Amino acid sequence: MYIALNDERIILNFDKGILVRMSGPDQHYLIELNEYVKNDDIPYTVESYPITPKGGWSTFFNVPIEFYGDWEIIIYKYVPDIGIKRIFTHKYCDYGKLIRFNLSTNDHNECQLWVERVKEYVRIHGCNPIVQTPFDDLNKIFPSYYNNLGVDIYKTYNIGRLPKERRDFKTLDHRKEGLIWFGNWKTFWSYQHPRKWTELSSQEIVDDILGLS
Amino acid sequence: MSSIFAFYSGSHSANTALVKDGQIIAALEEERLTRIKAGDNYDTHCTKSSSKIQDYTNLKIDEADYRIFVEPVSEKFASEISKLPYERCSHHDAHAYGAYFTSGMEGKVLTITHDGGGESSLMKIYTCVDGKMTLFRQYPFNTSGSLSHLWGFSTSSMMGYDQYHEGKWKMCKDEGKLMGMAADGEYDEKIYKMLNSIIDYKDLRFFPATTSWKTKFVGDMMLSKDYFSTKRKREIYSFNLQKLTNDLFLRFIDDLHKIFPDYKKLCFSGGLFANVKLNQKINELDWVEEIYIIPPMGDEGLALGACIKKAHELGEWDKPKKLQNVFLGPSYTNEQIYSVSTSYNFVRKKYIPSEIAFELNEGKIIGWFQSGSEHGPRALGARSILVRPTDVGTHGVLNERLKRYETMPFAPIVMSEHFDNIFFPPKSKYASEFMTLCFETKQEWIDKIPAVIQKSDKTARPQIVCKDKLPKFWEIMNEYYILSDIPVLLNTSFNSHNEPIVENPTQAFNILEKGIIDKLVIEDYVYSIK
Repeated sequence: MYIALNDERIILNFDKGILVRMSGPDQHYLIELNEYVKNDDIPYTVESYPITPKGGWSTFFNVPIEFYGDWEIIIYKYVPDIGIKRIFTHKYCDYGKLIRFNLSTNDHNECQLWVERVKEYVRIHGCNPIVQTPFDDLNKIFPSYYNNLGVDIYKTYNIGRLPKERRDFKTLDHRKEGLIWFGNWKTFWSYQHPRKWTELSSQEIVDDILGLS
Repeated sequence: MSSIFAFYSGSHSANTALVKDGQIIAALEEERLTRIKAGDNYDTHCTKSSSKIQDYTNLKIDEADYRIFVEPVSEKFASEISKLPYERCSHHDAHAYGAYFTSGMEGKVLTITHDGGGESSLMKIYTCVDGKMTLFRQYPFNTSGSLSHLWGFSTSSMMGYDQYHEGKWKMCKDEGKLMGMAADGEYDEKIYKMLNSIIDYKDLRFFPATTSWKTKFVGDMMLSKDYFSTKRKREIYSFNLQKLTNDLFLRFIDDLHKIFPDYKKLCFSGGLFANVKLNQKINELDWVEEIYIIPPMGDEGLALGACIKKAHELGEWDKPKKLQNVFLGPSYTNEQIYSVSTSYNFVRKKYIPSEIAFELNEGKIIGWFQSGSEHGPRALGARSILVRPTDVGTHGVLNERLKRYETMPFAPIVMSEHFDNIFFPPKSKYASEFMTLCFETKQEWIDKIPAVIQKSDKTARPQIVCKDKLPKFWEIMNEYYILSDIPVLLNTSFNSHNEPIVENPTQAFNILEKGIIDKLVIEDYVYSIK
């Protein structure tokens, strides 16, 4: 997604993780990713750091979150004599947008269960689905799969099982092993998804990823 | 009755404590043994302090009834320290229980913690009545702002960064420099607003979250635009930082008072309350009867707080009680000290208070080493350097000798009988036994003790010395008082530049050998260079 805002140019992409790139007259921007949690009006900050489009700390903002969340991206810049000023806010909203669902399982029954949950997600969000499974009979349920390859995808959900031995980003170093570090911030990347993915059932996996829990 | 070991190995200020049968036996910070200040040494475990406490108390960790690790806990490290099962204690519970149960306060008390974050919270509020604590509210790390982070990241931005992108001034270590400079600054509406754009307050909540990154972002931009390029500019920034902190926190305290109008005693813990100027402003509120800040107010006090919490749960520490002192580190006998001293070329004489008082009155710089080392950031009469307070030039002389660059004025110790004559308001005196807040100085004393008064605002950070609690410390003060008619001495921490406070006789002797101090009173003897 490309957004022009006065002199600033913003590229925002939720497809694989959450990505923000900036260009504009300022050399520095602060990017913040917040999550709105059910029954709570105050957003929880998931990640925040400055970017410097011309090099330095990081030239872009990226958080490797691939599941659903009620996300909000905020971009700040520094204004002399005023301080930090919010210049842009974007809330995740996939209504009417193309959303890709990759269902990775060799078990037809499990895949069928996941397809039903995808249908529920589409009903709630009003998005246009592109669904890819290993099974032709299930792919045919969503004909858009055959018609929309190569178009602009707002978000991709990869639904499947990671090998149980995979440690992923959940263990940054030995000090934080087993630790809920600053409220599930670094370990699970979400306040809505605190469960251990290695212990989830088929339905819990899909519901966790699609935020249907 | 039970023995309880507790440990803290968070990102900084690792420490160990031991409580037995409802009595504090030992508490020790890791930095005293590693000889690297906590702010210079992140991610340190309490390996040395846990081992040392076993040595000087003859109590073994695995023989204790309870082992407790304060959050955040490294499971790997915890299992290395304790072979047996252990319990966990919430970070802010440890802060809160430590503060309330060492406050000695009776009746209705509010206990408030605030820091840069520990486990999932950065602030908690408890209502406390006669030994019963009830959590009123807690503030998650990622929905709330932190005044501690405002200070920490301002500190690390102010002087720029080294080749490793580390701040030249360090958070958790150098915030006091900004607090010291603040008194010499002035109000600047633009800077105040810029800081206020990072953090604000409303309805019992500091907001928005991630004060850390926002402060770093604004601080680094201000650094690049020369806002910190002169001493004067840094003083002005610091003034506005202190003013905003006071303004926001006092609004919070007043709002809390509206909800709990009968609670007029306040206990504090957490790194924010190392800010003696903020504590002073709270203490000066008309409705406040008394405040208390636990002497190890930062994370260095967490193990002690966890021990106290457990002792309370076991019914072995049922009500708040007052600390006699915080000399909870290892102590050394005259024989042990003498044995160490034989490696040096020193003269040893029996300690006679009147003789040392005479030396003080002559302007000599005296090292003072007694009992176990203090727990917490302040030298309170166990590892101190004493000087007469009457010379305005003492600040420069001491800084030169100690190779320090302190902007904060040195602190006075005052005989308890004379406190009301010199400082005001006359309340929160127990807190002042641990040098945790500033007071106004009465006009007639400002010129008598200029070495321990902040020049610009005429405040001081006194330690009250009571005869019954610190008899030897009180005695030397009394001897000096007889000679000078001044019941005050200058007391600064016994360490040289960039080092933690000395722990053992060898470290003290090394400072004497370098000529940094003129004489060293260590237990019952006085040492000087031949």
